[in-house]
Amino acid sequence: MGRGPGGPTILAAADRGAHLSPSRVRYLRNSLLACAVLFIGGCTYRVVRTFVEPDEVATLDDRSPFLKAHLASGHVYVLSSWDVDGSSISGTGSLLDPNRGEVDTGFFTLPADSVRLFETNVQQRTWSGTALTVMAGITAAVAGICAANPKTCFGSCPTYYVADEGGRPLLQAEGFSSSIAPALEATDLDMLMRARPRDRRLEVRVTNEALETHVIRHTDILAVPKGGGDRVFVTPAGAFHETTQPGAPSRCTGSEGDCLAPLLDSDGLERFSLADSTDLATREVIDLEFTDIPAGELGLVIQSRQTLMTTFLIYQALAYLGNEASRWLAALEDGDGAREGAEGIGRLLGNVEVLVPAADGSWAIAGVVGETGPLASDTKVVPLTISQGEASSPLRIRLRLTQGLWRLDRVALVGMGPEVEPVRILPTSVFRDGAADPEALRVLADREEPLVTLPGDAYDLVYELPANPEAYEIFLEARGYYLEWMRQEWLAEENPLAAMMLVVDPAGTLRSLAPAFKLEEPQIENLFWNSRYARN
Amino acid sequence: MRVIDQRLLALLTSCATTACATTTAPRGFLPDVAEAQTSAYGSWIDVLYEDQAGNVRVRGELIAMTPDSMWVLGGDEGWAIATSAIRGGQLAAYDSGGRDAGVLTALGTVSTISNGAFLIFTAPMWLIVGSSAAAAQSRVPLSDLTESGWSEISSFARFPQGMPPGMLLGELEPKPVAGG
Repeated sequence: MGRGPGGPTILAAADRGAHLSPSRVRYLRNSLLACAVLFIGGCTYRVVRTFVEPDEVATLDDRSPFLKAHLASGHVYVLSSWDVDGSSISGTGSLLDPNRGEVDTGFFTLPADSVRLFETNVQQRTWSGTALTVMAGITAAVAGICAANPKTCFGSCPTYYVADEGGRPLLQAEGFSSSIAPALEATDLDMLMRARPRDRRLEVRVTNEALETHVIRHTDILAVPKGGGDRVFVTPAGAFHETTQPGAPSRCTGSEGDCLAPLLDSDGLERFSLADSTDLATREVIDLEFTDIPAGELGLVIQSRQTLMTTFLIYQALAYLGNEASRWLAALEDGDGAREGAEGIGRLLGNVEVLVPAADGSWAIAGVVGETGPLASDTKVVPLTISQGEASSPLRIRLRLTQGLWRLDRVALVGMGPEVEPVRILPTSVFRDGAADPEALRVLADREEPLVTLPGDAYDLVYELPANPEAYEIFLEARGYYLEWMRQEWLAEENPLAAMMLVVDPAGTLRSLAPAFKLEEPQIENLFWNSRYARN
Repeated sequence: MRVIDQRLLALLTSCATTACATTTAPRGFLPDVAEAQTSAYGSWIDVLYEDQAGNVRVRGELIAMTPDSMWVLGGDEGWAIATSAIRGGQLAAYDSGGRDAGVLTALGTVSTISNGAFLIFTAPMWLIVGSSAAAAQSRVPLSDLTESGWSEISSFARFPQGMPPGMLLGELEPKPVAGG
């Protein structure tokens, strides 16, 4: 009792009580108490009844707490604390007549051969009890994890699925991840890196997999002609460029040493590091070398996404704000001051800086790249300020980024071609649960009225690409914002002082939250991906 | 507990116990698992046997069982039945606790609220595993009456040693049932 499959996990979470608020401890305690009740009640048993003849009393099952001695007359002794002594039986209990009326009570000693049949009963646990106990253990373990770290039990932001090369739906974009309030409504552009439309019909599924309300102003496809280039990439400033001669780095050195392998291809194998244990804003550098240098102006293609550090920080901020969260989010509408404060931590964490060697031997920033969100990789090209003629071989490029914040899938040096203009394509039809949804189509075409989705919602958007679709690079442009649903567990962490410090001292906050994040970091990824809300 | 919670619990309990086996035993007759260890009465039996008038169903306390005869006491009536005439039936040795398992399943399902979004996994798991467990548990103390099972059936008689010599069914008093 009280111990089950979830036991060690729960204790591990409870041991971290040093950073648990009293309310959260209460939540944890109540969850465990509920589960403990289930453990106790979950014990379901069967009775195994055995009969022994008088000449075999030595074989009586001493696990049986009671012994019944049936006499030939129909009387029966029901004894507790019974004992066998050679050929006699003794114990305390009752003698009952054939109608089960009590004849006598007390301590009895009776010769075994005066008894017609002995009966023992032993309780045995059934598999049903085991199954219920296991379920209680699983529930307790999950409850313990969620109580210790409620922010990781929920997902994040609108997600877009487009078929990959094999026709399988693949999460290729996430919309406006940093737009957590109407005032932060933004346009987000994502390259559908692995979209391979086989004909002019392109289907995009947009889902709401989190406990959030998504307000989608529009979701358009931008088809960009590739021209003579290999692929078209977009710069952080939003300019589309043909590119040529993509080349992988010949060397990569990070804090862990060689980091070349994960950066060679766009294959989902990512390079990432762990956050600093004392300051989440601590930076690191990655040094790259390229020996195959394309002709002309150069650019660096970076495919990246964030780890869950940002998600952790957003949820932690909402938890600190507690009941004040909605008022604070509304304040973002009213003035730049609140928004400035909200963006302080984002500025400190920064994006991925691309640096190139300067003439004096120092490093000069060529550009920055990076998009909020942990779900889908974002691919951008950063124009370098050097061309092939100016570059020495090998060409050295340095990336400077916040430690533990970024996952890099691919970097490549490309030749920058001319800027090209995209063709904007609006959805031609929208389906929900397999049925056409003309109202959703109307609002997605209407720049003023948004499509509002709730957890579990999924819409299939259909676009008609230009003729010869393989000659186009496909991008997805989404505009909107989303509203996190305040979780009851978060309210337990309401802390106005800590919320204020987020604004007035973001650097200090990133230092103070480092230990808490480091505790969650090893398992936060699994928890997050397992907690996303899907209805289909 | 709010009304809505009680209704939810009742609904979940109902779902979890849908597949549970039931008996014809009067309420209060069957001992629970703990009481079954000390109870000196026989278990509840529901017997279908054939006589000259056709099939007859009798229900009551199993008094004794031998390879050729079964004695059943139901209220003011008693029957001595030839085992060769038995066509079917069921013995309920004790209260299985299957309904308790159903209630636990309902409580477990509700408790997944503490699992956040994970409840989309744990709540259905509770319903599936719990209702299966409740159904299985409800069948644990039940035995179908078959010729090969007479020995097992006799274990749950008031007189497992057989009918006492000279004892008549009419001399026996039925098991008192609380509220019954």
